[in-house]
Amino acid sequence: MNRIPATLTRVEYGAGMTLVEADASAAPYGMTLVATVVGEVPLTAGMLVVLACKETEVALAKNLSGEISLRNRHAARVVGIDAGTVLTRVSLDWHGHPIASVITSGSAQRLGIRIGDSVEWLVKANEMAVETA
Amino acid sequence: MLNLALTHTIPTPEGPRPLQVELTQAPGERLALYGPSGVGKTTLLRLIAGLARPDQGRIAFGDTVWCDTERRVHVPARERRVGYVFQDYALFPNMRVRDNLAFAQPHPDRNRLDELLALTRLAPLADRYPQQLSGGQRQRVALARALAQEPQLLLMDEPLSALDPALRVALREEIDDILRKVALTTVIVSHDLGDVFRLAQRVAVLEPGKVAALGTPRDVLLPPTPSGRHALSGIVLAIDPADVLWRVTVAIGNDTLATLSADVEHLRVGAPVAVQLNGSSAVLQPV
Repeated sequence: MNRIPATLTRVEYGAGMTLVEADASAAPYGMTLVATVVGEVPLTAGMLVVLACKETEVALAKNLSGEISLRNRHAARVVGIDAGTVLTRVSLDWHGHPIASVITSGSAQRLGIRIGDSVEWLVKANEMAVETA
Repeated sequence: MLNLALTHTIPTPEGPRPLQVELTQAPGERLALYGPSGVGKTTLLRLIAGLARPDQGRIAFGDTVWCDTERRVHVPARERRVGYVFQDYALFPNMRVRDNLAFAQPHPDRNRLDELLALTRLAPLADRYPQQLSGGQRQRVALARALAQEPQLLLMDEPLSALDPALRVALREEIDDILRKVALTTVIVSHDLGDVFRLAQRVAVLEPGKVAALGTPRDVLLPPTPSGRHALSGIVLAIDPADVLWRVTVAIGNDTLATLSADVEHLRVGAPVAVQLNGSSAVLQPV
């Protein structure tokens, strides 16, 4: 599981769901949650939290252009590649935080991912979770 | 209207434990008694039915006092006009379905018996013996027999717990339909959330010694501030290499789930594990 310390910057309660924005290493994140609490504490702006997402929910892109609906896209550097038959685990360094992405080996080859490459890692807002710091 | 306020000692493996209950049930209401095993749900049902006497207290239905320990009143079970559906059916094995029902009738009434057979979809099975029926069919007979008593109060003790999950869901819907039609004041004991939400309008949550909460299933049993990530309790069955990840198989109840995981160093085969689902990403399919 990828985990990043962050501060909530905005919490908007909707009908049955919550839109949460956060700041981690000066980068913005957005999440849609079926939640109003983290642990047992109500979500509030200014709260210190940990943002979490599973490695298999992290997509990678190179030279991405045009508009995209994904809110969470951040530039990082490739620091490790573990290529399997079907899946490849790509380790990233993002502002000193380790991030891992598991993508298909075919996609890794198509992107031509090498150690030292600059890539973007992307996660949909509903695939991010908020945990207690 | 059912009114009860009583204390009674429940025998438990840890020794006798007092149970204190105060409940009022509106006419026609379906009330569930929900809680873990051994908390006193069935005992409470037996006290209402008159199959046991409370240590202390009062049970009344409408204007009739069924039990008042202070005034030494105890109306026998057979005079309370209570229909009781047992968990294990408790049918007469040597009687056909029709005879099981007829035996329960306070007065022979062929038309009413045919109505009940139709209501519970038992008419084609009326001449069978209990051992010639499936578990679900037997429980429908048990319900029909309880209704044949023309009760003013229906008590159901874990009516679905002896059935496998698929049959349980189907019979739950049938029982819901039947209960809506008969509109009887009903108390249902269950430790199954599906039963409570489908069959009951109100629920009393029993904890050791007391009623911990009373209200609609939504108000009492749905978390008021959901965390959004739901942890199911499971047991790790297997951890197998899956390319650069691990394939972890987990038993959740009677079902198994396999998922890919990068972090398995803290997982052990046979050990309990929390399976977390992200609320907004869980996929629901009717089965």
